Amino acid sequence: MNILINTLVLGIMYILASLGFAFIFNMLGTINLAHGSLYMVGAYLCYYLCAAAGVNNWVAMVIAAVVLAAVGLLLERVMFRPFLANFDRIVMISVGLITIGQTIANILTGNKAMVIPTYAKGITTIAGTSISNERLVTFGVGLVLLLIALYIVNYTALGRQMEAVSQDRLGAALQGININRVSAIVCAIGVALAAVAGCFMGAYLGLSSNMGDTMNLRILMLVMLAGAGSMNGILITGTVMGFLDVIFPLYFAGNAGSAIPIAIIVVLLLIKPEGFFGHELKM
Amino acid sequence: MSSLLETSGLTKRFGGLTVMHDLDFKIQEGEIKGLLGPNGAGKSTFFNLITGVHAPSSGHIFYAGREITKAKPHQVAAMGIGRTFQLNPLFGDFTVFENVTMAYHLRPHSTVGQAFFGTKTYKENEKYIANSADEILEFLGLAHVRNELAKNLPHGYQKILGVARALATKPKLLMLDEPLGGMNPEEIAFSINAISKMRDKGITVLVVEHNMQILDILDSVTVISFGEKIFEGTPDGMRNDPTVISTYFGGTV
Amino acid sequence: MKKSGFKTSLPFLILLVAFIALPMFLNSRSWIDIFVTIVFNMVAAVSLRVILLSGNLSFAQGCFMGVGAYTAGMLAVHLGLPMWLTIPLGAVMATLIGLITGWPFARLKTVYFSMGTMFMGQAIMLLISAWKAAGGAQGLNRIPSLSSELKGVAELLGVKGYQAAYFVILILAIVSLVVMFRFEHCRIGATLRALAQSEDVAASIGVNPTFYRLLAVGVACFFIGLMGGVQAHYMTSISYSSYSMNLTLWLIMYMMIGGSGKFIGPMVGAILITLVEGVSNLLTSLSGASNSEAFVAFSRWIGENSAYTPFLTAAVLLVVAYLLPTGLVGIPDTIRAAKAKRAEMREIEAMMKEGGDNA
Repeated sequence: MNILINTLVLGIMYILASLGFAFIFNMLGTINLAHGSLYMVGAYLCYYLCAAAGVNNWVAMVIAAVVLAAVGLLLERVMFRPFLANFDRIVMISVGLITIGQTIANILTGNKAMVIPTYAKGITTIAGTSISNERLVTFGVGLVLLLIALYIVNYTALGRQMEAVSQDRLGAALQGININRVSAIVCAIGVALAAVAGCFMGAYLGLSSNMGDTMNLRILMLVMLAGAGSMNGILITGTVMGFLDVIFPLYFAGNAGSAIPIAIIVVLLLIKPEGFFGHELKM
Repeated sequence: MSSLLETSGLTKRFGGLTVMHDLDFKIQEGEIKGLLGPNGAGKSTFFNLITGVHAPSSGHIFYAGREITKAKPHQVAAMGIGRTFQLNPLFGDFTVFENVTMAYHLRPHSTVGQAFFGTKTYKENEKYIANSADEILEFLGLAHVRNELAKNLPHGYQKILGVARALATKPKLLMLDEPLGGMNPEEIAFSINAISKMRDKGITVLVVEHNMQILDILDSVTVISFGEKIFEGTPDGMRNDPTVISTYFGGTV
Repeated sequence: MKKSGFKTSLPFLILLVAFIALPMFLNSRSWIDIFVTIVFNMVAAVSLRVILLSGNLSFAQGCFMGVGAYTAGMLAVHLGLPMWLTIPLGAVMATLIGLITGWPFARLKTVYFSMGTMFMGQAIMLLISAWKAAGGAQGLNRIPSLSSELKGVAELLGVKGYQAAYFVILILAIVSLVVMFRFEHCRIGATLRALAQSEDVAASIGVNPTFYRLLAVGVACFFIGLMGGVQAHYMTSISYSSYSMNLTLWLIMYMMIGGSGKFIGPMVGAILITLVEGVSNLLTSLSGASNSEAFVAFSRWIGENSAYTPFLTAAVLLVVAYLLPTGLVGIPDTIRAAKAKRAEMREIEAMMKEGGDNA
């Protein structure tokens, strides 16, 4: 039961962090290398708001989400929009940003543990098992956000516009869709979600200067396994990844615990690099 | 004469849309055949199916007696089928000359080892390629822009360069995808003349084209509409065929 | 068109002379360490560019250097193989792993290749970090030292062991660079460039896209693996964290800042940035011998703030991204283009003036 809870918590957080990356990949056709870094920046920002400015952790999370949403808008404007056709330039800018973010994290991370104050104290008992409220709340809020995101994608006009842009950018523009506005909104939402995930994970597991890299790896795995254009696939791969990350560290200590799930994914991707749930890449 | 290229029951579906229905097509060795049809008829799809860019949903493709239904583009090229592209037909950052010399990749072929170590074979090949490329540029009237970057060429020249590139692969079957598109009358006359001369060089030509002036040099023509064949025969027959006329112009004559 | 052979080789000759002569004078251990690092980074950045020629950006190069290093190190530590075997075997292993992990993604669009290599690079290093035989979290230690191995020869020549090691590394690097240079400038390089410009057109002339992409990957991985293998024996102790995504990102920075359009670009980038990033170490060792108080204070200040140097490189990278996309070695071309444009504008203005006068 505990395993289930932990899986759900981790899974939801992975999915939230990956949604933005998937949005950008499907809609713009390019990858946001800095997504893991932005996740980390969200966490660090939240931590410092709480620790240095005494801000309430929920408020700090909202602030972090808003700030990162603005960063998402900025990225769309100065990085994606001008250079969609030129992957090299996007890489240059992304790598510069990642380096800046990582250096900041390196400098700020000292020897003491940095943990964002927990989002819910206490324990609840459900069906005879005690579950920390923190996990319940993390999963709950995550689930709500995920449902909202899914609703937007599947049932709103914005979602249909996103679909149109991801299928045919020029065609969508000719249909009167403001592709820049749609792209900007999507980037903002995506990055904000990553920041929220960062805040929750920062409370759940604490901050570390390599959390950006670790999450980036998970994001890549999720999106690649799911395949191009598949939002729903990410739900499945996210949960599976959460499960693997919970199960294996139980039986294997140290680095092996995280290494084995990765080995499994390596094999899966070698066999089917285009993912399992996406649409055909080569005809 | 034997048929050089033959398709039977060629069908292609993209999702729910069927763009090619059961197409039976034949081209004889040594002829210049046209594949005509209104926009969206499936002409470029046909090219892509033959050359392996897309895999057919069903049906078979035969070339020189062998089945090539599942062959990949570079394999199709190696078998002697050359093609031009309607859009983005070139290596833009290469010069005109480099575009043509690059096209000699298969014939003569220098292996990776020969190229790397600069063996005698490699050097001889490169020399032959340079001379042969200049000949082709001469033949197609591009010699004066030899060192221009391909992306800087006017559109008509780019199309002609595309043909030069396809010729350099020494194809037995040359598939031209709307070669006259975007050309002025002078260029069109020049190109039509050049295409008709290819038969003398032993090349079988399949032309997809909109511009009806091409009818003058065609031996036979197939007309397709919405992925289905609606006419097969001579250019004169086509001019008078009621189905063709109503497809292109609507109504009856 | 072939430029005059001398003009194009002049920068390389200058570099060659510098790499041979400078370490003769600046021959303390810390200086030689810096030179060695520069050489490694230089070859690694150039190998990254080989893959870029085919239109793919590989995010796993750092990892493959690590594969070379760990292979050489583990073969030496566990099987006692001699260096002249472990190092080439390291290169071979890096090539194999590079090809195996690259193959599924080389068949797909370039974006997928980048994603795939980004994942594979980190995954492989993580797997190595979990492998007991590779030393786990502590890294692989007690690898036989190249410097010690060469001590005998070195004494005969009147130099230190580590200096001799540097020259061995330099020779290997020169060989690697020459091979990669030839690779690019014969027909193979042209084929790669054609493939990068248009896969469809390249395929229509008979180029097998997957084969050529993997060829580029294979060559690049071999030489970066080679450098990795030597690095294991030079440093005698390696850890998986030095071959993580971090290294790959730095290699990308070297290449982009220097200029990905020319062969010498990544070399220039590697040299410059390695020096900038290593400046604190440099100053520390220099200040040890210095009498100037100001200098010692300055170098201590640099040392304390050395964690901030990546900001400098990142800033340069952003400037390059927006203003100088062809990199530092592209500056002469950018200037030339700007001058030509200005001359053209002046001509047009002059023509307009004449026309106006005639009207």
